[in-house]
Amino acid sequence: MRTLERLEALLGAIPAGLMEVRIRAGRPVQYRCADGDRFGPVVPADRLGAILAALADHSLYAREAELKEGYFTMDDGCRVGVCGRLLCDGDRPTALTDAGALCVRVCREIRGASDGFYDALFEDDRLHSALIVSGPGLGKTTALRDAARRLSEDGYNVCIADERRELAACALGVPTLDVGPRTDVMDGCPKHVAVTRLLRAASPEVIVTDEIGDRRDAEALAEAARCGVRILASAHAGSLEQLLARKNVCLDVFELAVLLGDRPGQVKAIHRL
Amino acid sequence: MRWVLALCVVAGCTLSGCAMAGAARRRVRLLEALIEGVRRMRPHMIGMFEPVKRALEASGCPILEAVGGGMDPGVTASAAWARARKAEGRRGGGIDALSAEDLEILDGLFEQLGETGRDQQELLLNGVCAALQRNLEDARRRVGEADRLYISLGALTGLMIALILI
Repeated sequence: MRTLERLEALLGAIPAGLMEVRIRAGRPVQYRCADGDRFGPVVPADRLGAILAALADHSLYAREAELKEGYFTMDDGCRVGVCGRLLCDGDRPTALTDAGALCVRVCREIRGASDGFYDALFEDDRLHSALIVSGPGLGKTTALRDAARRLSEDGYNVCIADERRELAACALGVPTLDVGPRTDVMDGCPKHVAVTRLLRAASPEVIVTDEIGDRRDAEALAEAARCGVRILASAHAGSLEQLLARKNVCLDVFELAVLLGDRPGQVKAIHRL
Repeated sequence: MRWVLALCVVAGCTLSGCAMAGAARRRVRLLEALIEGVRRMRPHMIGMFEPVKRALEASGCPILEAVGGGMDPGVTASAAWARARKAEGRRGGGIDALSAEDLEILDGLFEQLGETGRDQQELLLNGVCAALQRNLEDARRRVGEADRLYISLGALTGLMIALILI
């Protein structure tokens, strides 16, 4: 059963064009749609735990590692963010308890989401490494997935390091989203771990990964680039200046920065780095 | 004619005694299957982090598989167990030989299965295995007793009825 059907079974009818659902204990459900916000019925505080357990297939232990990071990903690529009390041992989260709010981001597969920048990747008749940049919720992952699919269809061996399982949404090793015929996926592990293993195991021509920002990710991607692999990745930033200010994004790996616009799918600018 | 009828009554009552003793043997087999099933679930849940439904379906124990099969999206293990218990607990069902104590252990298992973190789930599975193992030892001890008791009782009852007939 897909996430939207589950939400419908748990919350009742959901509006069309849904992008995000926010379920807060003791407050009305907030539906974020393409045409604005709508509110549903109040969710009793004691019901939130049951909704969380149902979304996690009544197998919370299986989501424990992800929950410590504050989210888990459904089999169809939808991400469930969880807010609550995060117990820590020093800097290390040990458990998330007393969930108070859920944010379910609906995974959208939009063919053509990379049309605005795909041709620019092939400037000078060769493929360039590119970083797709925008604020949250503006379609970085959707654009990245579509670009991966097109590169794969155009003959490149594409490997996806899918830490959060949102790009390919693999179920039992099989991508449930279309990522192309020449694409291999390593998911569920940190990006730097996946990238080094993909380099050894899958001879990639292009590595695709989402939301970089960790020093170890940067080092792994730089190593892959030194091996002649092209990199397609995304990062959070609202502008080129903000991107340049981010220390853990390995900008020297990328030749292009694609800035997405304020509306999902819109390309604001393409910069040479 | 009376002698033939008397012989039939003795044989019938002895066989009834055997059948009653058979329930104790069935309980042993069921407990063995359950323990093995819970052991098989452990690597799926604790090692591979598979969801409860998949772990139950991979257990190789028919009753656990039935519970897993009943875990449709949104259905808890506890609700699926309650349904399976109702269907299989009647006379002639898959778990009719289990005792009230065995069923209580399974109630406790399914009430908590999947609802807590990894460490607690491991403790739960270990605890259930240990409790079922204790019941299994008890059930094995009772098999010998039941064999002697029910078969003798059956045969004696048959003889008494036969004497009355003759």
